[in-house]
Amino acid sequence: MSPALALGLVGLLLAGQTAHSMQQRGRRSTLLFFGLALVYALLRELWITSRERPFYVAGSLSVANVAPIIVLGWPLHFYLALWFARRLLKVDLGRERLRILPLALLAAASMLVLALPGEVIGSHLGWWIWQPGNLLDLGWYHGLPLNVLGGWMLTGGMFVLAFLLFEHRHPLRWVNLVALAGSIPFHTLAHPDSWIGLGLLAAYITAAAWSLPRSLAKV
Amino acid sequence: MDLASLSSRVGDGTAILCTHGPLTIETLSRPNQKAGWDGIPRATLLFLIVFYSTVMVALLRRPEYLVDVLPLALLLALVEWRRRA
Repeated sequence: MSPALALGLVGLLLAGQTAHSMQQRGRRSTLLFFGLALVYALLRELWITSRERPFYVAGSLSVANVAPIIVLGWPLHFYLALWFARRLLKVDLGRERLRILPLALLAAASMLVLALPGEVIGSHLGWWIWQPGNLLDLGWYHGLPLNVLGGWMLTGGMFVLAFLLFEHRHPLRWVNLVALAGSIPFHTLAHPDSWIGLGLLAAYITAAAWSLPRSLAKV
Repeated sequence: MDLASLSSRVGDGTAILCTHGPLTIETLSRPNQKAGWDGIPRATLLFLIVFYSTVMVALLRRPEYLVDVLPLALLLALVEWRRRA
């Protein structure tokens, strides 16, 4: 299958989710979600592929060494993961008090389920090529390094948390955004390749568990 | 008669329009619209399930990879079950 056709499909699906978000949540929330997701995805992929030893390389369709299908794929998967979590918990994001941690955890688990088949296909069709060797080499599954499975969950959970904190103007939103941005250079979310990165990730999880409220008051 | 009881009796925003005007139809028909619009993520997920399965079997010739699509199908089924419950 042509990577250009796949890119077009992903773009079409992403446009559909944007229209859904506009209708359900309005312009501000839609811009916040997809703007944040696209900027995060672009910075992340640019950083990864500019490394001396990137843990994947863009395949048959790339722009500045970045696979655009991955940049568009992150927001699509973030949105569907949050949709799954909302529907399973029957949560309205506009609710006065929102239970944020169950939502983020379920979105993280949904991210894993969503990303798995796409990753298997993408790597087999050569849209991107995984490179062996990193700090946590746990083995391979259907052509994928096993540790990326945890990476999708962490990335999805952290992103949904960042979005919800901004959506509700929570005082901790900037701290969480710095943690999300800071995780990019350390590869902590997908392919940890340094003990510093792993240490920072452990510190983030501990801090989030201690400081974030179980419910979030809408301002 | 208040709007909520009227809505539950008629069950159709269009019928309300005749008696209460455009402001009422806006208020009452929005829940129906939202329910309908949830069709976009549902259709997207159904498409992804069919697309992934087709590529795995027809293009990659790896039917054993279908096991990777199964959790997605189960998750969507769970959402449908929760919606109807």
